[in-house]
Amino acid sequence: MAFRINMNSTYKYILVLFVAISLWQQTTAQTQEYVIKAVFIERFARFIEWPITSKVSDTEKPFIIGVVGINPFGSELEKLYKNQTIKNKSVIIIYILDYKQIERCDMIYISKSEQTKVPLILEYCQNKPIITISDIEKSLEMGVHIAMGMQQNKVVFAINDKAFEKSQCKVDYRLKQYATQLQ
Amino acid sequence: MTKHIVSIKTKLRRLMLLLVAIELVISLSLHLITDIGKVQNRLQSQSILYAELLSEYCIAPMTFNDSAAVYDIIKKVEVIPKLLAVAVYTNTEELITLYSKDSLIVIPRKGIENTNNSGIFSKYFTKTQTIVYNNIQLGIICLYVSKQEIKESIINDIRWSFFVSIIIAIVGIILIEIFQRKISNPIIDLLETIKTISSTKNFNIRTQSNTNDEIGVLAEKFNEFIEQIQKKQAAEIIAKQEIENLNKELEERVKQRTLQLEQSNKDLESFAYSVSHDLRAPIRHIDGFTKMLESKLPEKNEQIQHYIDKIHESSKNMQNLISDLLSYSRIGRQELQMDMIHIQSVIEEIIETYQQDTQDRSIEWIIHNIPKIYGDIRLIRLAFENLISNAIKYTSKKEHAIIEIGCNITPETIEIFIQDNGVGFDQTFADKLFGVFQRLHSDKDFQGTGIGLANVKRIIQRHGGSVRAEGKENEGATFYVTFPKKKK
Amino acid sequence: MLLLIDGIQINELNSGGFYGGAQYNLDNVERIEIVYGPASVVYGTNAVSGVVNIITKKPVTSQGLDVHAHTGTFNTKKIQTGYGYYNAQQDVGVRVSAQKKYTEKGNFGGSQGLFNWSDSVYNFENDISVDAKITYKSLTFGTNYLQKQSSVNLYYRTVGTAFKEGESLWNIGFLNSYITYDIKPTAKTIFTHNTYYRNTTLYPNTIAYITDTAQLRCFRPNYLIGTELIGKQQITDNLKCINGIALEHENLAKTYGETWSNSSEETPPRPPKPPLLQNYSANAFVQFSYTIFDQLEFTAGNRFDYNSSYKFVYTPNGSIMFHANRYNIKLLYMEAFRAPKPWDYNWGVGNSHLQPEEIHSLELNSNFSITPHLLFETSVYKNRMYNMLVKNKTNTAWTNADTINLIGIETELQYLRKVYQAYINYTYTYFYDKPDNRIEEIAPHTCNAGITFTPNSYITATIRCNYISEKLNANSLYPIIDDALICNTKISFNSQQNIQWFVDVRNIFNTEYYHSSNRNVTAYRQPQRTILLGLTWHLE
Repeated sequence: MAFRINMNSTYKYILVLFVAISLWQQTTAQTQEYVIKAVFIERFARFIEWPITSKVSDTEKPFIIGVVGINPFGSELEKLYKNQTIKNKSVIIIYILDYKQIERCDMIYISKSEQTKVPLILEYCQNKPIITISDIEKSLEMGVHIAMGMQQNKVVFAINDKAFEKSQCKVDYRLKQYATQLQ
Repeated sequence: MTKHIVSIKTKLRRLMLLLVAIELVISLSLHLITDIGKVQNRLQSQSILYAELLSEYCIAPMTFNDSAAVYDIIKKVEVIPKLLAVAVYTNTEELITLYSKDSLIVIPRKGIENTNNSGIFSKYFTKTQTIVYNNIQLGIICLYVSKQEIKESIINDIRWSFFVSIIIAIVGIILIEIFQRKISNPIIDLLETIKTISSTKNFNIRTQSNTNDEIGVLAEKFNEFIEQIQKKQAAEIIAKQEIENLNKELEERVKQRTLQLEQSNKDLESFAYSVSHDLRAPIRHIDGFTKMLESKLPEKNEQIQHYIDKIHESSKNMQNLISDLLSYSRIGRQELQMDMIHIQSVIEEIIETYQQDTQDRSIEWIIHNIPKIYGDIRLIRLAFENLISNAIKYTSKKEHAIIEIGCNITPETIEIFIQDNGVGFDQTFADKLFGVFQRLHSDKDFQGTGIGLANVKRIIQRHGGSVRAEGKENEGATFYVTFPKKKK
Repeated sequence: MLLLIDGIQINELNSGGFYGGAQYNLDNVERIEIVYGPASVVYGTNAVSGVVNIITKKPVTSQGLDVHAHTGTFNTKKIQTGYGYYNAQQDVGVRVSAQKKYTEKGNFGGSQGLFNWSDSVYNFENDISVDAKITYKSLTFGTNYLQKQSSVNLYYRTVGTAFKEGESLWNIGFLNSYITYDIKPTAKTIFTHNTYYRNTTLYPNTIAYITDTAQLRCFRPNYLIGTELIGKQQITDNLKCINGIALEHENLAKTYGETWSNSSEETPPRPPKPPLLQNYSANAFVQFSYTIFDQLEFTAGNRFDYNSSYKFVYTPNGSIMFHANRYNIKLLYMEAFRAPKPWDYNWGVGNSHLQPEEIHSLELNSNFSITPHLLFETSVYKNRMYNMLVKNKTNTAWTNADTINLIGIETELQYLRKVYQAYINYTYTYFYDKPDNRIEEIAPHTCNAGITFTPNSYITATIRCNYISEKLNANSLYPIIDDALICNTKISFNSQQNIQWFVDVRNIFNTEYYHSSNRNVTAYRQPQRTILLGLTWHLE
């Protein structure tokens, strides 16, 4: 379709401004989403019980959250967990490139960049008390414990019961009740 | 005298009805109160249950700040009629979401409504419950519970009470009627019999009553009593005749006696007065000599002192008795009993009575001739007693006292004066002297009342006269008493 | 002495005197505040030997119904009831109380009364008192009414040197009504505004004298209205100030209204209302207290009074107080005055130039806690009284002429424990420029002691003894009144909740003692042995 881009300069400026604002809004919306997802990580932890034998029971040791893949949170996680405790333990965030590091964590977040590597990552978590969270589509069926997604501009999540059973961790029924059933 | 009669039947009925009413009121009220209590308790425990359930359901949504999900949950109270509204607040009491069935209820946006102290007639009460998970408080839920149940229970109870009361009242009235007759009928029968006897004066009638209680006994005794009256009636008639005869005789005698009595009353009064005056003299003797004895005691002897005190006591006693005797002879007299009085002899008598008291003093009495005056002898005597005793008292500190009593006569008046050379008074005080609450000298110097001179003034004024006084300090005082001459 | 009920004077208006008797309702008293020594700076006239302020119960602290009753010898009976209600939400309260008392006081017939009367002598006292108080926030509206009826034939000889028996009646009533409210403009300042109406009337059915030939009936009404504003400020942490102004207008009877009857049994007609004198007064005072350091306090104040009869009076005062943990010492200088009243102005030929009597007093006072349970207090004072009213040389009126100087000492020892409390005190007054170093009516030595024993919460027992030494009496027949020791005891039991019984025996040994006011001792014998049995009941 051809139309005349023969506007005078003021209109041009307005158009540029409009585009810039909407782009910025998009990105803030995006970062807003990850702020909420970051907060949710702590909330999930409230409803989850790690086995007594795991290192989560020792309040001296820190609670370790691992981010696998490209970090979508920016500095949100650090900001949030600088003063916030999980299970009365201080929180350390590590960014994992080598999957071997996964076994140090108590909870990991699999970022969208690792879409194809999900089964592999899950192998590293097998039989260990590590809770996996991801916002990758269909990751729940692949065996991730908690999958987060967007529904009508709201962050929602779903829970994989079998995954919990396998990992010796228990999840409170209240969380299950509240979670959405299908992604 | 006619009394306002309230029949025994009525009294009995009222009493029994009152008892029934009181019992009803007490038991129905108790029932009402306990019922209300039960309903309230039930309502309380139900609301606790609802609050706890709802709060449980809200835990997860509150953790994830999902107010829409919270709303979904609280909306479920739609099906519970007694919950009027639910509101969920943050920990800082700011409203997150609410569901309300009743638009008239105002749910605060900030701060939670606490209706613990709401009155009996409020529409609802609130129940708050904190939403807690793992010791973290996520928020507060507030239920608005309707009090309709309580109101309904009260209305129900009241209706039921009315119904019961009416039935009991009817049954009660029937039974009361039956039972009160057993008591009141015998009494009324007795009354009727008495009325008949008293109106027909026929003492042959006897009453019938054979109940086995006090009324029966009363009836029996009454019959006996009537018999006795019959007998007496007969005797009476005979006696009456005799009396009529005697009466005539009596009337004659009474006339004679009255004349005699009037005379002897007069004699008695003057006798009482002079006797008591004559009795006073010896008493003053005793008192005076006792005092002298006391002063002559060489050394202090307790036993003798005791005897002297006893004598003194007794003489005081005697004086009181004499005073009473004097009062007795004067009781009831209010009006002046005027007569021509030989005032000079009255004055001389008064001086005579004070002789004993003033034995150890040197007093020179100068008494001039004073004509008769018209007055009440009793009151005049009292007035002059006061004036003369004052003269004696206020010259007590003088070595040689001179008291002069005389008179000045004018065409209209007789003015009697009493002059002494005693302690006197300041002339500027003259008007106040006859006032009631003013005493010139304190009790330190001279004993006295405050009313003596006021009394004198009053007495003289009643005679249509006047009083005045003149004095000079330390030189003496003169009291003037003026009487109007009797007009022919 | 100045007597106040709820801060309003209850002294009799015409004479300014404090009226003794049983007409005060002591069961409705919340507390009694006493200021010792001359205190006219704040209180004005009559506060010469001290001030007693009876504070009646308030609705907020005395709710519910209470009943007190007692009965005893000499036909003594009393019933008192009070009710209080307080609503905390609206801060409104009401308290009412009423008391009726009757007693025939004692036996004065025959030997008990030195043979002045026969055994049928008539001697009674009948008292009624009613109090009501309504409080709403800081506003209080109150009324206190007292009425005392008693026989007077014992006091006045009416015929020569004899007392007349008969039905005399002294019927006097005291009414105080007031409205008070507080304003607190800042946290450190408070103003109290008080408006009051006082009425002390000798009712016209009073039969003051009975003679051989007549009865004398008297009537004397008096009333006063006033308003005062008192402020208290905390100026700095160390300095506070209390100040006030007041205005009063009084109508006092110039004399008694009198009527006579024609015989000793006949009652006279109602007396007419006597002429009334009007009087205005205004006064203002200020008093500062300054705390130099924690333990040392210094106060100074002055009062200025203006009255349309006696014009101006000034009464300053000052003091230094030092207090430590267990003891404190005060040095005080105080002045006070007693205003002359119509009674004084109109006596005899009258003297309209009378000035108030003044007292200047310097006192050193200290108290120590020897141990936590043993307290010892002592004070030494020197008083000079000026312008005392005496009769003039020709005995026709009052005049200000007398000066009295005295030195006094008072000591008290108190021992206070939970089960026992005991006290003993002694006073001595020395009039150094009078003959015999004594003055009429004042006993140079007095001593009082008492023990209270509370073994448990059910029983309280008390014994008190008072000793008054011999005193002079300005009376030619009875120049000396003997000394006397009087002992009283009271035992009370708390039975089931809210009911308390008591047995009260006064003057256990039936001691004869007299307070004669310079008159004949015979009529002023103080109460004989009286036994009372009573109960108190409180319902919340």
